[in-house]
Amino acid sequence: MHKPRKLTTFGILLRLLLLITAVSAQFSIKARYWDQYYPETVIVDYSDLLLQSVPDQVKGMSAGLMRLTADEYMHIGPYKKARQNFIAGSYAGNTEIMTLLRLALYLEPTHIDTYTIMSQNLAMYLDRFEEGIRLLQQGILANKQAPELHKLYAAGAYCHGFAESYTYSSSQPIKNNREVALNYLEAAIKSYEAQAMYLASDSYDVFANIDNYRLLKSRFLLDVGKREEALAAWRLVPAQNRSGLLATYFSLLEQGVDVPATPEQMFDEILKSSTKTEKEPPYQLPDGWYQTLFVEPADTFKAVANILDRSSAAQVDELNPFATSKAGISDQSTDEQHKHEEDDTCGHTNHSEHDCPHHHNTGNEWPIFKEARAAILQAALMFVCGLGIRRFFTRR
Amino acid sequence: MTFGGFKSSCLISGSIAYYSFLEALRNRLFLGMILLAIPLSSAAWLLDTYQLGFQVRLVTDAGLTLISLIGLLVVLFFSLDQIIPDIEKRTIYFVITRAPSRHVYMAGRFGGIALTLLFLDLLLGSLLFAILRMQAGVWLLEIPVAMFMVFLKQLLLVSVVMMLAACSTKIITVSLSVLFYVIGHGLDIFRMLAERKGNLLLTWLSDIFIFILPDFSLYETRVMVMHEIPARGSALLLLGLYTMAAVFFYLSLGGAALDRRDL
Repeated sequence: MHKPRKLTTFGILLRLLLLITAVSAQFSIKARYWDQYYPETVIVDYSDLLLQSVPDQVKGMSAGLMRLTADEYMHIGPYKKARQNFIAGSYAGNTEIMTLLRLALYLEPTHIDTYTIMSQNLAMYLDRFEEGIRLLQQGILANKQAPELHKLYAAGAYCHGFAESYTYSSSQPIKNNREVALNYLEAAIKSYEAQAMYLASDSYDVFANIDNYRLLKSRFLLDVGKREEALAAWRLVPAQNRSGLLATYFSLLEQGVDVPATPEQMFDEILKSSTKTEKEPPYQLPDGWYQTLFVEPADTFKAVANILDRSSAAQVDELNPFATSKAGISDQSTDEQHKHEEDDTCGHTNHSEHDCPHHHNTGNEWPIFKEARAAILQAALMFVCGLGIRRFFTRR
Repeated sequence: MTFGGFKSSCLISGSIAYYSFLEALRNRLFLGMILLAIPLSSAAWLLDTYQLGFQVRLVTDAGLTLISLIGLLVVLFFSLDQIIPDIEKRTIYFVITRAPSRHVYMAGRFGGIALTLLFLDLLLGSLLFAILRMQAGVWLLEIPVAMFMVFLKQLLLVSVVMMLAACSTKIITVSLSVLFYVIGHGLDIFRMLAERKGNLLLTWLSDIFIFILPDFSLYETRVMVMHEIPARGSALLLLGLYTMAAVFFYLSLGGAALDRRDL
């Protein structure tokens, strides 16, 4: 008969030693290599702590689904039956997406773009300036080492710098605070420069880039009365980004012309002088200066595409909505092409069935049957099979 | 079959359905699901982090998804509980000795699940409809239509599960049902991929699958509700016709299998 071995003191001590080793190793690993296990996410309450226990892959996938759904909602627009104050195709003022994006941030607090979209929406369009800025600060705290951290600082600068334009007609108008905006911009520039080597070349952002930050900085410095510093910042702005009234203003400033405090004041003086009721200003503008006030959208589009270096000039023209619309007009105007359209018997490959009028079914086919032909066939087949089985295979 | 025989079969089938429904209502799992679903459905406004008001699209979308998901769970768990335990516990003998055929037994069991699902969908759908009416002040008639489509979809899945349950074990039934459910949502995509691949055999096989397997993508309500596309009566009628035909087909297959099974 099998007899169990007696527990000895040595055996107990050995087991205790093993347990202590395991526990100390467990705590040492998490204490020493904490960055391997805990992200930068700030853990404020028990819900944050609970979320830490869910695998990152699951959280990331769920957050991705929520962002996709939010994107879909944005494209669909408002619900017609409910009175909602936003339009399809824009995040601005969209209230439907906010809950989804907030949940996505709980699950994945490292997604920078979600913070920028939400904070600007809250601060600019939804009368929730403080909540917007607080969210940005949470994002900054949760992504201290992220290469795209500059976007969050830039979003803060944008909110503080331009809030007035968006909220002047709201119940809680916000005054622009260019001093605070400058602090955010400085932080954005520093962050961008520090992380430049980690920023992928294909992640060029039309707004959130170093050139725009410098441009904004020069403008904001002017607004707070630091003209010399503004000029110094302007000198760092590349030539292709210099356009409009601001470029004219700084150009005159560089030439040593005595210009008013802001470009807007200069513009007012020019307008007044054109009515000949007052004395002419002490400076002259170059010929055709007013052209720089306007930016040709097609040129901007090309410039962006060239910076992205993703497409050839021909492709750029193809994508350019202005060029396409012009081409469309010219196409319609030529008789020869009219004739081609009439003679064309759907040999073209680019037309989808719905777009091409030749593919439209102009016959008298009943649309219900056209839509559900497969379903009807399947139903009929199953019905016949069911009857057959019932008839031949049932035991009587 | 005479009219009297048909009437008697219907009555027996009806009473089996009624008792199956009662059995499901008394099931603790079902009650648990309802108790879980009701607070979840009602908690839609708790998601409003920034006090931006009630969001119609989000609540509708999340509510319908939740109802569909809970319905799927009920279908999978309760359809399995209808036939296989009866066979294992031998209680099926008491029923089939009184029923004219095993088809009647199967139809009765199917009716029981259908009643349970109708009850669940009505309960949750009405709750969602009422929440939307009270909070957003709109009559979202898309909800009853969507619920009807969800109900039809569940009926089709129940018939598939019962067909499988009549001829296989629990684990195989669950696995195959989930497989059919997943494939049934993407039949067109599989067909398109096979065609793009240029493989004639694959295309031919996918054609066969399209005709044999249930097409669950027909019951997709999301686009209709999200884009506020008004439901067309003819489309719903055709969908009902398709569902009835497919349900009859799968149930008759299941009935035939059960008929030949040595109990």
